Amino acid sequence: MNNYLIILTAAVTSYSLKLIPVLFLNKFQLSKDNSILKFFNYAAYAMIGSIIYIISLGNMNQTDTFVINYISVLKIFIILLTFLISCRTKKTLTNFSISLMIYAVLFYWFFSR
Amino acid sequence: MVSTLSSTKEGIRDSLPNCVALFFIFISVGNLCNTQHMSFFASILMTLLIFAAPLQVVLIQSVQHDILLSTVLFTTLIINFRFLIISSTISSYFNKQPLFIQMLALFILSLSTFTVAYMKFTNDKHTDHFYYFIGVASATYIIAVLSTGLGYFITAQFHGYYIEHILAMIIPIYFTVLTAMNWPKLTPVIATLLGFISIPLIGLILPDKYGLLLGPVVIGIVFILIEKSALVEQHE
Repeated sequence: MNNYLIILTAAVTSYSLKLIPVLFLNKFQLSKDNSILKFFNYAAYAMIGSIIYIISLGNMNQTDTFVINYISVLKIFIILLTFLISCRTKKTLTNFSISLMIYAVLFYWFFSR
Repeated sequence: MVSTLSSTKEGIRDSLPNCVALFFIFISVGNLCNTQHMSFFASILMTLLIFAAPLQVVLIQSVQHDILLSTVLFTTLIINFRFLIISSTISSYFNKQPLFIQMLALFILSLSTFTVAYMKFTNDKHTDHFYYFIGVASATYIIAVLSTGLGYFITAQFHGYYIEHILAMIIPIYFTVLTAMNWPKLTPVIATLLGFISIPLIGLILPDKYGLLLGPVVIGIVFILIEKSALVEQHE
């Protein structure tokens, strides 16, 4: 499928989602206990988890999704470390910068010299 | 009466931490676009029209494969459904503006923009809400578009083993930080973790491209069912 068609479809769908409340939803309320809302909420969290895996460890061009090597171990370690640090201190930018720097240093130390 | 210009400037100023974060994220997006052989123009256009990092990342990963229109639609619905909610919340503060202007403003709405603006609206009644939003949203939007281009350019110029591995981990680390922000609420964290492990598990049985859609849908349904049965037990 053509790249531009993909982009356009996603853009139109996305923008429609943003516009629906101002165009239509003044007519009826969205209840917070709505199952459909909750489904999308949970599915979105799961999608984020999938994205984390795919970009860090997976490779959609290979059929072999289990690439166990030392780099993967380092990446999993960094993700765990990031999670633990961020649970304790809720400062997004600081946690992100620290984790990225630790990863950059460790990666250089073990794999790039 | 607060001037619209000072509200806009305040918005731009308060958006700076977001701008720094989005700078790194969209450099990574630009890098991904390049490694997946998208054109420079398509990469910029994607950020210009979509301006949502998780969705863009999924689409970039899929451009090499024969992705169906229905998959694009469904993936967009799942990832960006929250826009429906944040748009309805934030637009309730725009009541004084004409509908057409509101629609234009919502084009550059994003999750991070919403967070900053909403915090301000609920704590400070003295800013012009609409122009504050415009300040926050336009600053982050411009940075995102420029960073996409920069990330693409860096990848083109510097074919570094090291650089590519570092750039590639920006988004996973940032999303992990955002996930941890939900702590101590367990359900978002568990849902994210399940999504994480669903990819290799589903990958054992099905081709890779199904995992991305199947995992979240199944996990979403399972969570709803568990919630419903927990409610039923409570009533008994």
